[in-house]
Amino acid sequence: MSPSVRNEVLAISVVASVGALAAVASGIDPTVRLVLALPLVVFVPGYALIRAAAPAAPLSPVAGFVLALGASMALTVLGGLFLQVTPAGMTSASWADLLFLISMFSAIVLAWRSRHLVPDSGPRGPSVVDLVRSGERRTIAVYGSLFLASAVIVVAAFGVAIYGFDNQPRPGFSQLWILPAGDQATATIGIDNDEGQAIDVALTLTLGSTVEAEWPSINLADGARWQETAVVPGFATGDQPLVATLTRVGFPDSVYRYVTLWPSAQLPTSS
Amino acid sequence: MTVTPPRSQTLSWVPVVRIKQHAPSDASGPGWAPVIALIGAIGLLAFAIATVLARQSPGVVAPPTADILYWAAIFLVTVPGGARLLSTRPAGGERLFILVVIGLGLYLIKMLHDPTMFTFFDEFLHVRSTEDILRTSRLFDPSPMLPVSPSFPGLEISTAAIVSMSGQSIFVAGAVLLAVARVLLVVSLYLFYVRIGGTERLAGIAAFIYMANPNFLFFVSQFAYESLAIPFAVFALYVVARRQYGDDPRLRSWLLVGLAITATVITHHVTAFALIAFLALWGVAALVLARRGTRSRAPLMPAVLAGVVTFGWLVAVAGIVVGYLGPAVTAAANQIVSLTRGDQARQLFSASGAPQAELWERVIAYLGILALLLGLAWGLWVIWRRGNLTAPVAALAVGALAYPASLAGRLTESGAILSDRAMPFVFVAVGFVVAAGLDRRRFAASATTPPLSPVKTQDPARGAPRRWKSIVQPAMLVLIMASGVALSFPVWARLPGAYLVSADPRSIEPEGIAAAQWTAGQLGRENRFVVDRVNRLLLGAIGDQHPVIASFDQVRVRSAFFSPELGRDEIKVLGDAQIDYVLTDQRLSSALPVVGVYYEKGEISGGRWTEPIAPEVLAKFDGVDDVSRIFDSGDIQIYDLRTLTAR
Repeated sequence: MSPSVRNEVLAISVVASVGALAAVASGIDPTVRLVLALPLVVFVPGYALIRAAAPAAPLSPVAGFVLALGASMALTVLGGLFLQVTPAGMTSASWADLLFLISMFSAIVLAWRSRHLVPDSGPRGPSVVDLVRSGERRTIAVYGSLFLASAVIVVAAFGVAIYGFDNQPRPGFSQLWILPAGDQATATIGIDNDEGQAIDVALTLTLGSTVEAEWPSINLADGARWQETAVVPGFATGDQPLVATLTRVGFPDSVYRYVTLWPSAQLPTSS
Repeated sequence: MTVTPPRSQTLSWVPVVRIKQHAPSDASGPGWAPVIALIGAIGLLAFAIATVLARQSPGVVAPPTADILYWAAIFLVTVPGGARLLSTRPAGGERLFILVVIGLGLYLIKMLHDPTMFTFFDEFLHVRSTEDILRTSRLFDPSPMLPVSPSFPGLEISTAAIVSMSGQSIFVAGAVLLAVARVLLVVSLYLFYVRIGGTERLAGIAAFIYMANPNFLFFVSQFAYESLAIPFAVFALYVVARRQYGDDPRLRSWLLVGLAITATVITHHVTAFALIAFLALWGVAALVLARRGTRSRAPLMPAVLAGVVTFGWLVAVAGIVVGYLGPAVTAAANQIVSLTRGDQARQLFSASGAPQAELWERVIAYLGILALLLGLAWGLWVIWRRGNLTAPVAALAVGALAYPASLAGRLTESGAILSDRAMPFVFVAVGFVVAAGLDRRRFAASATTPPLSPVKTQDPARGAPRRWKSIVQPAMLVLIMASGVALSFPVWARLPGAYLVSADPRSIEPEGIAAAQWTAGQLGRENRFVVDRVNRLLLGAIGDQHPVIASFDQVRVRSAFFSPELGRDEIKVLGDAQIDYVLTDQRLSSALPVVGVYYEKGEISGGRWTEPIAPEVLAKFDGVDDVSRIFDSGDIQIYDLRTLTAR
């Protein structure tokens, strides 16, 4: 086996192993996991496979790159069909196992089929190190700086766009809801505050013309939820809906939200 | 290593020694690409600022400053690169860098449009399918939102793989996947053009023109199956071309062709059909050329493979696609026939509840189409006059004729949708033919020599281009790109902004999202809902509910939705459809629906609303016996109909 093939096999093994480990590891930041595992989805299995299929036919860097990319992405799609018929289905472990095994099997085949290939003794292109040593340092630095500056500006653009999204003027809102709570005489009432600020509200629960319960002042911070289970003994046997009315403190005559619950209401399927 | 593949592994009539000569000169450096990337990045920053300004505006369309920044962004991302691609100086590597910069730049514009979540209509449909895969670890779980989607799960499989392996959200995983797919598309397309005989300059220009297709900026950047299938299909074309010219030994060649074609078929129906059509066209062209004495090999086996895999997939898994696509094609055909009988044509650049594009944009759009038609005619003439066609070039020339044909479809509602969907496929041919006209001497040089002849990037003997060319060619490319952008998205949707009624991305806002999240948390999943078009997306993708619509559930509940009262007929309709809940959004009565419908197609006789839906229609569920109003967030209410519909 030539040194270059040995390096290829080594690189495939390392990247596939790291990707597979990241995929099944817990406690690692998702962004780090994404960076480590993504090559196992979109590059490594395809690269290993096309090299194993023809170790003696080298590919130009661009062709090798795009063939590996396309083959890997296609392999992932077909891999999903394969996992569909396995007992495990598509889980992080099964994905990691499958893509790792494809990569490693292909790497082994590549090593086996390359064992008699004669190492290339012809001239090779300059490496980055060669370029740096030969005075191309300035060019590389300029290129690198420009790409880096581009990346920084793109990140800034996303920052600006996200800022715009977060600060878009939108009317705030509060949710009032009511659901049966198991026992037919009880109901769960909830308020969610998404007004963008704290609110002070009053809640009244009536059955017909009778006030069954009252909460004259509920202070809710922005993003907070208030929830109570109310027992209304006459509700289950009656034929009138339970009505929950929400008003803003200071505006008692203006109904802000209201919900109703009939005695015949069924429990949600989630209950 | 320069080991030559064994002769037995290559086509017998292809001289093996030429294999490496045809490879694009990717060893060259990035040239001006870093500078072009920097300018493009500034363009993206300009677009981001445009989104901020647009979001602050209460208007239907963005303020003028945001609009100027929008066009400046498009200009900065595309024009410097396009101008450089026209030059004869860049080598292959630089051209590829530039194309990737432009391709990714246009993709990032879509991502900057909504940087935190998917908001386009189709995206919600595929988010739901992906969620179903992640929830069950299995494929083919029926989708109430787009029943055909689980039968073509390529996008969802890939996204679910990244989500499972990284722990990221579907949004992040999908965005990263489509960025990689965009690179695959652009590089494969460029290499395909080079491989079938184009020069690197021609290939660069052709790929640039491809990116000017109206669907490139937004539609095939969205999280939807065609956004992954089209890169797979173009990749398939590239590997088939490599196979035809004997670039790869047999085993590798078949692996690549098989993988690319199968992935395309599994990912998207129409793309699979388009791939089969082009491979068949290529095959027919090869046979015709062979009869005229030109040596050309038909891609019969790849075409047969594509046909067999597609047929097998339709029979085994995706038979539903016939019922899905059939009505759309029939409707388009009927409307075109009606048009020929004198019926009124569809009004271009308009929507019922939204303003038209500015006059200058409409003029640019039409001029760009005119430039493309002239470029096509000129390119076809150049290809025809030079003779000695190769089969793929002949196939592209014939395929490009679909472009003028598709324009006729734009005059009808259904035809416009089909025409839109066809653009990413048709432009593969259009790009090459128009570029052949712009690069005719270089194209002719490769077309009159065997397909594996070396390609020169520069022709020292040629000298400087004529002055008129240096003005006309860039102007033509700018016009074509501007036209594609103007046609890409309605003026009200290309930038984010204040809430609009039934306007897809412009209707996605926190109150609707919160209501959908509440249903997921409190009601359980898969409850059958009557709900308007936009909240249907949120309930289905975020709330995990089952919104009921006529086209997928085969029941018409919209009559109950639009009825001014809840009478016996409406209750029967709701009962027959086994409706559990109804969600009403009071904002619907504040304006006409921007996309033309509140609920679903066919909801209004005459096809177009002339006044908003009455508030009483939405309030009719209040006060009805046994209908509990269980949720109220101001604009949105949810009613429990289960007692009523169970009777």
